[in-house]
Amino acid sequence: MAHRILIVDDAPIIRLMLKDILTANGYAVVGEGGDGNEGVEKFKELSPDLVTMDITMPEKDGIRAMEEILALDQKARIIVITAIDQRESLMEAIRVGAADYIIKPFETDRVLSAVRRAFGEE
Amino acid sequence: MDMSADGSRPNKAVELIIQLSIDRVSQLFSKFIKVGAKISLEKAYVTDLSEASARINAEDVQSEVIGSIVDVAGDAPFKFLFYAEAPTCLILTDLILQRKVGTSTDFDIYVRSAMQEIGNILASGVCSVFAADFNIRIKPTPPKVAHDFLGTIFQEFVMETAAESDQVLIVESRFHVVRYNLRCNMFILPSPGTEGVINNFFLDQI
Amino acid sequence: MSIENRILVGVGDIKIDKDPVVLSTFLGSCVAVCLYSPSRKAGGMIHYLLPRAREIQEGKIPRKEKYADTGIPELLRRLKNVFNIEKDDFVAKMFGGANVLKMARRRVGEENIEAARAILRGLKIAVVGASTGGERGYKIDFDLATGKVFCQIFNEEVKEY
Repeated sequence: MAHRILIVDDAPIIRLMLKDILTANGYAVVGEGGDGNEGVEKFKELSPDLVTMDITMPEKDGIRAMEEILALDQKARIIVITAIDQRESLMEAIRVGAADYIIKPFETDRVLSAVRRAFGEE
Repeated sequence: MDMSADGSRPNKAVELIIQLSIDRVSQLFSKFIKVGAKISLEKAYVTDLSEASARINAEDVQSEVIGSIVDVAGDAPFKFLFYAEAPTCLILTDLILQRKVGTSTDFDIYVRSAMQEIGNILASGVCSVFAADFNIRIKPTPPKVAHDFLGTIFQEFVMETAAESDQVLIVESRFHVVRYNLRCNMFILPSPGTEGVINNFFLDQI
Repeated sequence: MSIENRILVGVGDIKIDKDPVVLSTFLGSCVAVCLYSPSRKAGGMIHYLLPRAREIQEGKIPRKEKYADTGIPELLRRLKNVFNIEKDDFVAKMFGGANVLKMARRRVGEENIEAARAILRGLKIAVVGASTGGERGYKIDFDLATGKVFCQIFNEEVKEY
């Protein structure tokens, strides 16, 4: 059965790009969230195997959303995908519990490699 | 870099950070749209925002543009604007999605979010230069996108800064995507006091 | 209405002139107030940012043109000084105050509209035309030959006020 993935990003075009990459490579995108609040709600509703999480979003940023998701499920797999290319941000994301940190604009191979590693497939 | 007719130019530290930022932004833009782009003109100048906005109001491209405005918060806050004429935005969307140019015909959520995300990525690129090279802490907030007259979008872009200061430093860059003859524009508008912060950080490093 | 006679008004600015000049501007949350003297075919436009002047730095006086409460009286004062027109001869039209960025908590456009109405009421200048509010930008051309304002809201037809 395909791994189930939730995509959280406030830009529909990014969600579309990630969905295309993931579904073309055998993953099931089971839901999308447009901000941190939606991300947390969808996580509770869908219990995905993995979440991709943007940081800069309205209502609630990705770091706060990630903290809430990990409080619900400390084994949640979360890959941060963000335009913020700063060491401090990367360190914070890893400290909170991100499995990986991808900087936009992303390459297809980088996304797939991160997802496979998160599932222990690489 | 052209220091234009207004006569006042930014100090050396600010000039350097502007140049590094534009180099970074150019790389990120080319990577995102997956086509090489050239910065063909850039200016950094101190000006009266009333005059700058009147000049923008005179530009030919007043029919419709889509603009992405990003507020950057932190030690050296600034505002960032990226905009392009509406037909260019359709082509940029196709390039980003690696679709045949001409596929996008409606100004739908993907076209708007393409411009939103270009603004997000480029503004974040400027922030990374501040952070990595100058140890200045800043972060972007979510972009605000508008599909409207250029003069209207520019007014929204400058109004908070204009309310605080009469004379401001403004950085203007133009992108040229040669293969498709696309033109896009970018403005960076430091908040009053940001120049001083940059200068102080620079002096601390020497 | 000739493009050669067009003068563009930027943010936080006042322009005054007479026939055959056309004063033009673009608006979002800012408001433009146009004052016109039909007998003298002269008038002016203020494009202001905020309703009330505020101290921006210690001891620094903000430019009057940026605010409704200092700028509208300043527009009137300049028209009187340059063209020797009395207040009673003017009519007003107002435009803009839109929430273009669609930010739910941002009321600056509405506050700018309210400020213009209150100040013009206080000055006893009649508002004979207006198009304000909404979520789209405004392009206005104020023709000093006739006092007409041609207003186009983004994606709509031009209307005459």
